[in-house]
Amino acid sequence: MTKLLRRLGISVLMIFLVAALTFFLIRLMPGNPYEVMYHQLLMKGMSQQQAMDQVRSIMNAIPNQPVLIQFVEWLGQLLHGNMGTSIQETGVPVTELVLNALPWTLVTVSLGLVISFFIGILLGVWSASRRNSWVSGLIDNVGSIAHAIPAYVTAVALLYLFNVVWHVFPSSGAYGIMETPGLNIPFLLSFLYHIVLPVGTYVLTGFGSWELAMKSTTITVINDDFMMAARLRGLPREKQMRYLGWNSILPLFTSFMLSLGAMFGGSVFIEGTYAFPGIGNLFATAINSRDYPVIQGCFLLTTTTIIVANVIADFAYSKLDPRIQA
Amino acid sequence: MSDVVQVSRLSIVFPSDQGPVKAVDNISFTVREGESIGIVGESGSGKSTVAFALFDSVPDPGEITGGEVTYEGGVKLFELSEEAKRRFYWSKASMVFQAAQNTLNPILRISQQIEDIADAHKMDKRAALARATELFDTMYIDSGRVLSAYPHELSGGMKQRVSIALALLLGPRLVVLDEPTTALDVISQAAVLRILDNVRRESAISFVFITHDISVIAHVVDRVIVMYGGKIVETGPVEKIVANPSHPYTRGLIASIPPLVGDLSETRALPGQPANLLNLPKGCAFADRCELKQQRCLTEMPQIRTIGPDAEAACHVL
Repeated sequence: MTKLLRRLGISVLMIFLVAALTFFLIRLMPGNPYEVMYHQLLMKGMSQQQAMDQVRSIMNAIPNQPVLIQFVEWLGQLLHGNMGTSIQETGVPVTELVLNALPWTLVTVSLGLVISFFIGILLGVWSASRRNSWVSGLIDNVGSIAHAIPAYVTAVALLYLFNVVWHVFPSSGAYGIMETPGLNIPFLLSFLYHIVLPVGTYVLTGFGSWELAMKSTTITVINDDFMMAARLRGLPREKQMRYLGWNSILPLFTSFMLSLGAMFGGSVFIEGTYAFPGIGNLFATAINSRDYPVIQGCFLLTTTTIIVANVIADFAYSKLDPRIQA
Repeated sequence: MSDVVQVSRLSIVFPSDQGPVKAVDNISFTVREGESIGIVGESGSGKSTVAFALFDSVPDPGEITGGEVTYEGGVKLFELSEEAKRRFYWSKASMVFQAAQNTLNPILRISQQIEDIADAHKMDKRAALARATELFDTMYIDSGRVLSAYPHELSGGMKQRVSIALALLLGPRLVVLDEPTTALDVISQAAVLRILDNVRRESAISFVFITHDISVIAHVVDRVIVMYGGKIVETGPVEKIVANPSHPYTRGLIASIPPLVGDLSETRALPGQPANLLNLPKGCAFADRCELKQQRCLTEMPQIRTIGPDAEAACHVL
């Protein structure tokens, strides 16, 4: 229990550190939204005082305040659960933007991860069991190549083929405009239809690394003495496969949980391509328009996801593998 | 006494880039009911390969190219279906591995692994656990603790004893023990061997010990088979082999054992290298290391022949 508390304490500290770092880092990017707007207003003929008041009322910030003071203020607001309001979509709370975008990304990314993991596991075992045949070589090479192609290239290629050339899947959005989001069949069907391409992109670019990792652990385990022992103990084939499978998958579990975070990052490119209303898209738009509060919100959310996934992975792993203690 | 297993004219080849490696070449032997035999030889003599051949499980890419393994009741192992073999394994013949520490599934409790064996052989799980508890007791293992333990929670000697207990679980007729004590310290070695000897005295079980160190198993075997270069070069009762070896290789092997007390200068190492299985000579494989070598040893393969009561050797010079 104390271990759990300590883990949580460290996690909170890490989230704080990342939040602080991003706060300063994004302010090092060229182009400052407050000054941009301030100068725009000046050019419209406002006085300096008027422009300053305008910026302050719109952005809820004082442009020429020292960064350190801005930071303290932002942190204080954050502790109250207030991440500020968007600059681009003036006045809309960041929390609302982020929480609206999160479910879309969470569903597609998790679905993509789970599907690519399962495909990779199955192909990996298959390839390992036929490791001297051409099938194995084919699987490995296809996996490596699919994994090596950048996700945004795959995304554009899929979009071109399945939308432009064959008109099979929609090019943008998360559901048809006629549907009302909620737990109703037409909406869910429309949603599934819309996420085929984004999820397909995650799967195509992801399964290769799982396949290769699974193949390598499987080959190691196949040659372990306890597998020969299992055979000589007269265990049925299904039982032998279960011994093999569990011992091979366990080492992949940690990277599986970590990938969830990595795929959040990857969603920036993919959601942009498919104009998908998720976190990645929100993040990309926010960066382009130097929407500081939204960028910070996205960063904070992504880090929190990764860190939480990490903690869960650690504790779950110790439950799954008796050799590991949390 | 009946024969528990009969190996006849067994040959095993490992294909390699430099040509086929004849790991085991045309060997025959039998193990009688209640008998304990030791197969002795240095690395590469083919002794472990023989052990796996007794289960038709020669590691890849090895291939059994000839011969037969016939168990009690005329069971021809190589002709059994996969399912028949599966049921035969462990219930009739079981094995204790060289690195027995690694033969337990690392993520399952010992009790679960016992239940899996019981399941596979349609044995009542509770009966299996009760039998395991009995076996653990005879091996001075705290069965309550060990049954609920994961393999990594046990010491090496403990795991070794557990795997021996597992091998005895279904009351097999034959147990093959591949270097069962090499990974253990001398105290555990003695304990494990004493346990095995007790088991044999209490039941009509047969043992095949595979080892490179004849001195370790000398007290627990009745008969010794000495292998060199994939062939049997000498067999005989253990007392005869240890006290009065016939084949020059066996003599060298016995002479190379350091005495516990006494002068090390009496110990002699065998000169030369083990036989190259890729390029076996036309004559005797041991000829180039042999002190008694004659002209015909280089050109003519010595055949195994009787040289005394229950003793055979393959040597021209004898």
